[in-house]
Amino acid sequence: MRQHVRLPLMAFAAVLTVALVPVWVCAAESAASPKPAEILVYPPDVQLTTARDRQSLIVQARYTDGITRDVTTDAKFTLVDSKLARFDKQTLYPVADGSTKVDIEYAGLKVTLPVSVKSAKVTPAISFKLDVMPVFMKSGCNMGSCHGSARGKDGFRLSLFGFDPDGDYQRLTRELSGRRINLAIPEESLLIQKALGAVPHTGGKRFEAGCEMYQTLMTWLKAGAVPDPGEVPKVVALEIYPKGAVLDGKGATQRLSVRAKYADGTDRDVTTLAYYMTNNDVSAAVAQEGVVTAGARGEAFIMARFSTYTVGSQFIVLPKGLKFEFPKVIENNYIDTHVNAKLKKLRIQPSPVCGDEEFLRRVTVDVTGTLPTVDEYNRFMKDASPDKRKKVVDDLLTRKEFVEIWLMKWAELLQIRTNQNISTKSMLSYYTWLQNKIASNVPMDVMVQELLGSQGGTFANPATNYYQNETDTLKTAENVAQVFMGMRIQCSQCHNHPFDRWTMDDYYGFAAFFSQIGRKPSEDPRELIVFNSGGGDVRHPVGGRVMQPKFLGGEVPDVAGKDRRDILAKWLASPKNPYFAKNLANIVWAHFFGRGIIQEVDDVRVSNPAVNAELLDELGTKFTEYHYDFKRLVKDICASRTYQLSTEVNPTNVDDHRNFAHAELRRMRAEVMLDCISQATDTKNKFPGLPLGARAVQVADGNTSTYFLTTFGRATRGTACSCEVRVEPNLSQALHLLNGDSSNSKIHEGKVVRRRLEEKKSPESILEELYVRCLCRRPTAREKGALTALLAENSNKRQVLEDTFWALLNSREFLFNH
Amino acid sequence: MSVRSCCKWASAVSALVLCVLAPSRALPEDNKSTTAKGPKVTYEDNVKPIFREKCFACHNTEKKTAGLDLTNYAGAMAGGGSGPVINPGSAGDSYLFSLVSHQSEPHMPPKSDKLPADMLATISKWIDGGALETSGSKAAVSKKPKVDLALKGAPVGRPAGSPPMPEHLSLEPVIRTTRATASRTVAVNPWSPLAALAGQKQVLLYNTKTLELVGVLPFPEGVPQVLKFSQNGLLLLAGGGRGAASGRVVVWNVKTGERIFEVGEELDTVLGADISADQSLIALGGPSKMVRVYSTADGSLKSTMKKHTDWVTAVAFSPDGVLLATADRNGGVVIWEAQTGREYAVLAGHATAVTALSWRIDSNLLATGSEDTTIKLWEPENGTQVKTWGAHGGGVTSIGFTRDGRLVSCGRDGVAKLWDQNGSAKQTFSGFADLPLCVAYCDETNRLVAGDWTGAIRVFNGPDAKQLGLLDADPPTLVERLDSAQKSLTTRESEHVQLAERLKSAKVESTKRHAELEAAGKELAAAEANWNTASATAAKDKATAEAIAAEINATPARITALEGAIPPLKIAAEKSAQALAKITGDKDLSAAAAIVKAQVAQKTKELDDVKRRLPELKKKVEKARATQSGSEKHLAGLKPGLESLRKRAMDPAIPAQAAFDASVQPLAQAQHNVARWSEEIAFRDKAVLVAAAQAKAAQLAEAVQAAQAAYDTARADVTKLEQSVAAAVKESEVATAGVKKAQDFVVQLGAEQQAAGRHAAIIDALVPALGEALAKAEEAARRGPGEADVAGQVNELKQLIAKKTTESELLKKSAAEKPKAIETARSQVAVAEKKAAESKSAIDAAKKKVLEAQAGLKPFEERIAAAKAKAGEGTKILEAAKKNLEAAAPHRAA
Repeated sequence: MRQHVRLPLMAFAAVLTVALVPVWVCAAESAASPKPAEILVYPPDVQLTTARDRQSLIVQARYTDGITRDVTTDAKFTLVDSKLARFDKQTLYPVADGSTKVDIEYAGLKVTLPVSVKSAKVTPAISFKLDVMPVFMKSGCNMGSCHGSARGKDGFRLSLFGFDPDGDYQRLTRELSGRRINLAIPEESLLIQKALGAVPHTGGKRFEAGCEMYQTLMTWLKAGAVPDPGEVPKVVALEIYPKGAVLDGKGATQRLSVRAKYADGTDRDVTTLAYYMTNNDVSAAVAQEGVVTAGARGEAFIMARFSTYTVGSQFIVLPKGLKFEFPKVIENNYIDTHVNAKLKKLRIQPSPVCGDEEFLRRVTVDVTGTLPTVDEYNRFMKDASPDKRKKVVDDLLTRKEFVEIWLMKWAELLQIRTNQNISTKSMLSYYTWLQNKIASNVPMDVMVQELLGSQGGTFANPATNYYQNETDTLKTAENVAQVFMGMRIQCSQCHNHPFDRWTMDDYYGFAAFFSQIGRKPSEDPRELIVFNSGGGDVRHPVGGRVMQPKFLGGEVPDVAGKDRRDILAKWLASPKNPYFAKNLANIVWAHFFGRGIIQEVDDVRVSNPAVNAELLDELGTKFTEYHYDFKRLVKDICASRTYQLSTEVNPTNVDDHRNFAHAELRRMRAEVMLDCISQATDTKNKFPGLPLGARAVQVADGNTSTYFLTTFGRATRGTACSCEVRVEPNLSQALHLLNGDSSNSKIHEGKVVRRRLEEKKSPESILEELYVRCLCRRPTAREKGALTALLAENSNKRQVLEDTFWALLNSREFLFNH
Repeated sequence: MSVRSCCKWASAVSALVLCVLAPSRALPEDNKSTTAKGPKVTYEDNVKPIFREKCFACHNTEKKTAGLDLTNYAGAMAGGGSGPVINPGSAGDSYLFSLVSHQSEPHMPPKSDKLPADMLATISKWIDGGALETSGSKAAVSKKPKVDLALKGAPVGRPAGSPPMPEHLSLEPVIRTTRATASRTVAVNPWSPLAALAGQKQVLLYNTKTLELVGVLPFPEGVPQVLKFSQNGLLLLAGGGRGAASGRVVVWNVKTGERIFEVGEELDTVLGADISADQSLIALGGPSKMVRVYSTADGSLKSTMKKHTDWVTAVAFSPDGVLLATADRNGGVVIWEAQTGREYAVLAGHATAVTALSWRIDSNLLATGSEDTTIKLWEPENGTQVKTWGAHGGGVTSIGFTRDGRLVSCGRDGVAKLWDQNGSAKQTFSGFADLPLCVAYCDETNRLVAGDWTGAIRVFNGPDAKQLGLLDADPPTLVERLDSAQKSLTTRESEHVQLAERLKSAKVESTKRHAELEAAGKELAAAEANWNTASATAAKDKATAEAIAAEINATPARITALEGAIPPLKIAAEKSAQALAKITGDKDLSAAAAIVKAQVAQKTKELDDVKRRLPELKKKVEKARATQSGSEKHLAGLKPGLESLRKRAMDPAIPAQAAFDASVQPLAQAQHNVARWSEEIAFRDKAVLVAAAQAKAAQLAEAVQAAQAAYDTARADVTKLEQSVAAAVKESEVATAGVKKAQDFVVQLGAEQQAAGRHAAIIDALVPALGEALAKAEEAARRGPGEADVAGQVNELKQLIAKKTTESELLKKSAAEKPKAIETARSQVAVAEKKAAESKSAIDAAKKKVLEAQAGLKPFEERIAAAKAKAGEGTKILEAAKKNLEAAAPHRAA
């Protein structure tokens, strides 16, 4: 551990106290609290290296009902060998070299941690990179809105979140030399004066004179503001403690402890240097001192950022003394187990299972993008077998429409569309290639490996179209990361990712896999030949060094003499890549729930954690076990009770839209909606390049669209972003459905009502059929009564029925999958 | 230039006084005597400094955030976009106060702690007290400089008189830090070997010839960022301040060290500044992006130039005073008309920050140096670039023209360079510890002065680039210097003592050895004689050997010659013999044959002789050589003995004496140093005493004034009282007159009464007579009726009687009334008399008061006298201290 703090005098006084009485208790334990089930002490071990080091400990009590409480100040700390270290305010400071143990006791429970002290008499010099740079981060100096901005602020620039410490050193000391730092009178350095707010500073006061950050800067300046001699150890891991907490009622607090691990094996308590963030400060606010305070009921992810690392811890806040009982429910499979576990933590009751009609419509729309036909409806409703839901899923999965839905989704991910570079022929062969893969149920890993490693002409081997669509090395790397790993690494192109672990090194290391793609024209000007050129590098923009290909979050493989893409493809679409299976599973999940376990599905980052990490992990594991056959994953999902929950809410889950405690209303995507309207009205559409009657989901080219599809937010496939598909309602959608030719003219065109009337069917039966066609249910008694009355009093039955049809198509019940 | 002539002491004192008094200048009110109500809190004195520190950054004339400008009173009172912010008389109702006291949002200053309580109290007091601009008793601070700086026209060439050097300035640094820091500026006087360096809160003057510190000028404003000597070298300008807080430009008299001008109200430090050659203008610029030109005549702002898009980094007047060049951090260079402030030319070309500007002395060429690595030369007339070259990799940090038109520069490649005007480097100066930041060339000594990032200032010899020494930007204090001098003296002294000891013992030794020496001397003489003989023999032997050797050397040639001559002779002899045989009897022929034959015989013999002698000669030479080497050996054997004898013969006292003699000079130097620094300290202390005496004298003079003022007040009271006495006297006189008048009235009334009585009596006596006359007349009328005139007479008589009767009655009545009137008049007399009496006593009282007051004046007079006496003493002390200081002025080496 390394910690660079000036010891206050009081701490010294504490040494004396501790030396005399090795054991001391901070405060008497409150008698009212019940005995906890266990106590957790963080971090799990203490390593003190150098005299400036220290380690804060936190003690968390966990009660049988899952509630946790911060009992650090009430716990009793006993150092086995009190000569090696000393305590001050639950923090251990080194005294002499050696190894010992510390016992922590609370309410009769005891935990023992190992303590090791090294170089206790050595006080290292303040390092610019290790000690000064964190001050800029912690005090917010190098934020994007401040000096971290590309052009700096008020004449002074720092690299955003400190991605360029050498540059920062230069700018601070050698730019406008003599202005920012004053070695003769360090306290009069503008750096200090501004930070203290002693002179006007747009950023105001950043810290107090005499505080730890102030001391760090001053010590560094007093020593001559020297640069670091040589390389300094890099942070290799960051740990945040506690790992999670369930806080009981507003105002409950939990302190945090953050520890950084360095490449040289040392660690350091960076609790005071980490920058804290919360993704929900209504539920859990975090102070920059590292204390979380509970607010309204809810869930929050508390993050700590230090160096290039961001780590998080999950906090749940419950109303004080909440009485809660989880209903007894049958768990169909592992999905339900994980979802319910989370709901139990949150004290949320799931909704009941939905009815058969709802299920049939939901699953048919989700799996095939079509509405259940009247026959299907009748068959399903008549079926009395207990596993009829499973049967219908099995049945749906065999349908070609299922393939088409996923073909469409993959076409979006692979951005299949014509453009200036890609001819229709190329596009179509690319689409056909994808269609073959999906239709023949080629495992996803095989398909992705084939895609990423593809070589040859874009006609001969259509998969190479992936590299014609995007020819920029960096953008290709970004797309691959976003589509196959769900990561948006774009930020790291110019600076270390502010909310994730990715650094510029990671970015350019990953991009290096795509630096040797050769492209040359073929005889046919429309065709491009993609090959491994075997040469070309990516250089780091700061310093210009050549980057070795490095897997994102993985190792540096040996690429000498090999096709870099091959190596990447083999790693990427394999269990070695921790993100691949989970990412695809999450994409599948999001399709069926309208929301990913990580939302957005292509925005996986530390600061956007999975709402149910255990669930996502297991889905990923299963997906791997299924050999990347996502049909089986779909089966699991559709079979789960979670998928089959009703949209009806209860008081505990009414506000929850993240944890799958009830089904969500989901507007159908543009293509599916158009197909469903056409299916309900018995009409056919004509799309360019496709025969009359083709379905919208079959449109191969992202560049092809119709007014309807554009209005309802069909993906143009211009980018790989999941945000391309838009399902947010807007006014033109509503007006189009009400007045446009999609509903009214299709009703006339399809002649459904007219034909039924010609077939001499009774208006009541036609009415019923319309309901089943559109909504997959029979009209309610009230609906039936009102409409029958209308029919009775109006001689133009067709008019009434067609108006009803129109009304049904415009109803929210039709437009939404529910 | 009409600089106030100053005595020697003035310089040091002013420097010290400024140093001592500097902090109090910020709040001039502190020293003011206070009235009973407490000091007036005013905008100029109390509130503006607070606003400057906390508010000006946003609420200034340029930025005017929220429409509010607090940098002047009018702006503060006018308020901002939301209306007036100050409600005079009520701080509680003032928007400004509610924001700064954090009573309402947005809290001011933004993102900062609340202002300290004392500042808030001052603002509150100021508003509650009616938000005064200045205290009524005090005129606004005059910005007029102490002297008229402006010259008649710009000087060209070397100024008359001695080179401008500081005469006697204190060498005590204002501040001593543990290390120096980056030095952004250095200036060299154009006409004297004098360099100015920027220290912390001070400017340091060094002699470039001796590299000695020659003066310290306090700059409590902060860190100087720019230093410039005026064209004539008599003034030194420093611009600087505290980053993001304040910026100011100060001008000193180089000779006296007197601070003669201050200008600038910048909100950040000044980065570039210059004084025009005629000294009428001072231009400055900095992070405000504005260039401001001030007049030195009255300190007024003459022009403000808003053109630069980034911080103004350099400002330079052309030596002829016509143009002003300014540069910024974004690569912009602009030339202005100095007098009008009008834009003259924009010099576009630099890609990034321009760091330095320099005019050639003829004003026809401007050089600019930039972080873009280039130096560019511009022709100012049309603003065209005439030359550009990459000067320093990484960027140019400083440039300067020499008097002869060459250029010096330094940059991020870690060296300083001397260039000719074509941009070819003539000399490179290296050896900097870190980034060189500033450079200047001393034309008087041909030396280059350059400072680097660590604050080390190096002096190089221009012609050969050799480093000559360092100037300390953080010089030691006098006490430190004295300490080190004393330490050095102690060392020297002990060394000296040791050497003296050694000399002494050497001398003893010398005496002791004297006899020995004599013997040795003899021995030496013998040895030397020996040596001489031996060497003579050796020489002789050598000569012999050489002669023989020469002979030997010559022999083979002779043999060859003879051997060559004999065969033809033999042939000739044979031929002559044959001829003789044929022609026998020819005498001539036989004679010739005989000659030839004889010759042959002779030559042959000669050859034989030579051949025979050669081995002998060789033997001889060997022998001679052996003799020679023997003598040489002998010589060599003698040499060491001789040397040792020589050594022994040499007096051991001599080296000791030499060492001793050599130590005298350093010792004297050390003694001199100690004396020198003691003297400097004494000088400094005396200067401090003078400063104190001056302050004391000023205080005493103030006391005199105060006493005088008190006396004047008292005197005014006395005058007032005297006036009231006069008034009382006048009143009394009036009262006395009133008494008399009343008495007269009483008498008059009595007289009138009597007269009336008398008159009534007369009338009363007359009326019967008239009655008789009437009776007679009536009778007559009766008797003679119709007699008109009688009847008339009767009537007349009747009327007369009636009239007289009435008259008598009236008179009687009047007489009867008089006593009452008299009584009234008498009481009036009494009143008047009382009044008169009273006024008389009032006079007495007033007179008494006057006397008392007059008596009361005495203490005041005494106080004045005492204060004056004290002030006199103070002045005497001051004079004495000054004399003392003058006497103590150290004699520094030139």
